[in-house]
Amino acid sequence: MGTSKNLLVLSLALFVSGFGLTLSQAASADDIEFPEEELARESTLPVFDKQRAVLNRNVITEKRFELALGGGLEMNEPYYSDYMFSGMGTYNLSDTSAINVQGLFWMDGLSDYGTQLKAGNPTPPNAFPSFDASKAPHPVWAVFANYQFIAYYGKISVSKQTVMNLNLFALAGLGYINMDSVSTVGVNLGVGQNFFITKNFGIRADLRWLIFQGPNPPTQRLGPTDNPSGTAFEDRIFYNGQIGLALVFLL
Amino acid sequence: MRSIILALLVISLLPANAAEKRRAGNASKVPRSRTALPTGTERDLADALTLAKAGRYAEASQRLFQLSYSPRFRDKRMQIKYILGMTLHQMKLNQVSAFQFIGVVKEGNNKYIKQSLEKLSLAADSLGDDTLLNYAISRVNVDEFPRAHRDMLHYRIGEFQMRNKDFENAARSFDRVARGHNLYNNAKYNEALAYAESNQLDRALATFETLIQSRANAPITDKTKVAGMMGKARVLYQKKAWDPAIEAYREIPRDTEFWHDTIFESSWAMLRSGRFRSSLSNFHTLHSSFYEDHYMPESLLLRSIVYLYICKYDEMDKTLNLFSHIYKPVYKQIDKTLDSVNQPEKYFTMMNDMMKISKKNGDPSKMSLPIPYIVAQKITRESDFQSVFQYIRRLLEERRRINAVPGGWGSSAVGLYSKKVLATRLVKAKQKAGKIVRNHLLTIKEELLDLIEQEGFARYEMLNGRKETLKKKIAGKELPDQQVDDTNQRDFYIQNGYEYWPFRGEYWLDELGNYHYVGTQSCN
Repeated sequence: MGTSKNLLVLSLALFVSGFGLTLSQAASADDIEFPEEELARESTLPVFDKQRAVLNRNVITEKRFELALGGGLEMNEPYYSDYMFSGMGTYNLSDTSAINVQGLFWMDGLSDYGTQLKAGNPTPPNAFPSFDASKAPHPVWAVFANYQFIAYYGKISVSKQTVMNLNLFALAGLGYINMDSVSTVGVNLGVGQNFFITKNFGIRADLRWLIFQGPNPPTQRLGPTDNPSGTAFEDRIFYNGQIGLALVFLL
Repeated sequence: MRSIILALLVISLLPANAAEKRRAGNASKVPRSRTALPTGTERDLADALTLAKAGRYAEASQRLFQLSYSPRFRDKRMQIKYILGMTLHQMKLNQVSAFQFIGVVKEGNNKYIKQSLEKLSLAADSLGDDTLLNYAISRVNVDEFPRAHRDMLHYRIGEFQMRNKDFENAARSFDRVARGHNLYNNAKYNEALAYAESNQLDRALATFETLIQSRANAPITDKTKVAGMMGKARVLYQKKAWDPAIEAYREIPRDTEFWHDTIFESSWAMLRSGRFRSSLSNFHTLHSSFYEDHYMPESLLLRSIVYLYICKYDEMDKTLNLFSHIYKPVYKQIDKTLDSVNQPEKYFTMMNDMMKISKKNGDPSKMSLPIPYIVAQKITRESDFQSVFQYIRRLLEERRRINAVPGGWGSSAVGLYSKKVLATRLVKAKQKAGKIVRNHLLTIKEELLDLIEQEGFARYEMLNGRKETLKKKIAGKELPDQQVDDTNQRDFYIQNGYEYWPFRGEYWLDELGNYHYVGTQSCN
């Protein structure tokens, strides 16, 4: 191979000979096309002593806090409003693991179906009595502590000109769920993805399952004159699926 | 096989004992006091030989070692030393056994010299010690060497000749290694290398081709095959056949350790053939974070010179600054270490410490080490250092083997002797390794000094270029502002199924080697 000693001698000789000039002119074309053989033709990975997928990451999460504010939607809630707010704080222990604290706030009110049930239907043949689910204890707010495992850091090209980094995570945790007159503990399981629009800002989308034991509204009559206490209901296990979307700020 | 040879040796010694026994039998007519001593002497040796024959080498070696120093066996000392060497060889104590064989050879004037040289060559081959190999090879007669080991001998002779820059004869020796022998691939590679060194480039190419063809059915990443392909590319470069060389470099599979070298070497070929854009694309891979532990100052200067060609003075400035930022402190550190450390073994200790940290998954690149990490990494890959380092490892393995021999063998006379031999050899080998490290540091220091000087020249050219550009700017001959190929149409890049990604500072493993420089030239 070329030794260091002949480096400048050689390059200057080329330069003087006008070799460089010819190529400079060729390079000035606006549409750059590379020879076919220079395009990627292998899908294998280079081998290093320490195999690392990415270096000089755009989005560095390790030892950094993440704050997120957003909203969500209950996917299988029959009686109550499907909408909710969320606030999150995450501390990334490393590139792959984090501790996350999640606060969930359900919006007050009944769902369309719950409103219909509340109104009741006195007209046969489809008559049914009024059933006001809002009188039953239901989740109002909750706070969960989760462990978050970040399985993947990657990037996507939304258009041919922009690149967005993302990470994919799974989380699991325990938490407290306040239901006004009663409260309970629940398990939170989830998977999600952060899309980083800049190095410090992004969007978090996640899919959660809240599993908890709580009062089951249909186990009591909830007509206009009924007012059962929170403890009067029979319990059942709820599996609430939720979709969340939040804005994430890396601090 | 070795046991059979040992058994035959034992038998060859026994007739002498039997003859003595016969004599002792005849002498039974003489007073008993005359036969008592010889019978005891015979028994000692016969017992030792019986143990060796039975494969109880540890016990046999203890007895033989004692007998080799006994004045009663002065006449048979060389035989005993040879058999002792064989038993130690059976115990895989190659270094200690080699010492027995050397003893026999040095003593001269005995019929065990030929066998000892043969066994010494085998022991030296296992140890990979150049000194022992040179000693054995310089005395051995190839034609008298057992046919089974003759290929090994040819190979080692070839290596010896290569070290002495006798390339013609080296190629001839390597060529004599038979196809099918486990050293055949190495021999073919070295043969081609010897041809290349002696500037017989067509023969070198043909030999590399033979090597590649001999591995035609091997997997695509087969180390020998890829080494042959790499050799072929290098010879094409040496022949100044730039385009075939570039193509040959491209044939190297990406998932092999050789691939990394192709990036820099093919950049040189691209530069020589005037493919500046292609070479800049390569440099993007080469100067990515994945290679920040690699010593390659020349590549940075080369990149800066390509920028000079296309009048990218800002980029050139950045590249030269990077060179100064990385390699000037490296030069200073090497200079300081060379000034302050004189004992060779200390250089070895430094290297060893660095390798230990690296092995424990530590990150020596971020530590302040007397030998800069990128330089130490480079030295560890050098073949002369590797050779001594592997020898040291084998000595340490042998020491562990001695300590593992049951029955207190390690504290017996032969055990203590073996430990002493190994301790001495370890000290010598570490000194040798240290000297190699020091020599490499001296070479690198000299090279860096030269490159730093060239960096100065390049800076001068850069300033000159900037001055000319300014002159033209004042004269109204400006280039359009376009600095990159900013056309939105990137379909060209994805025609082969891959996707175009604009570079945003992140380096991804799967993208290495696939970067394309899209800057335009700025010369007016």
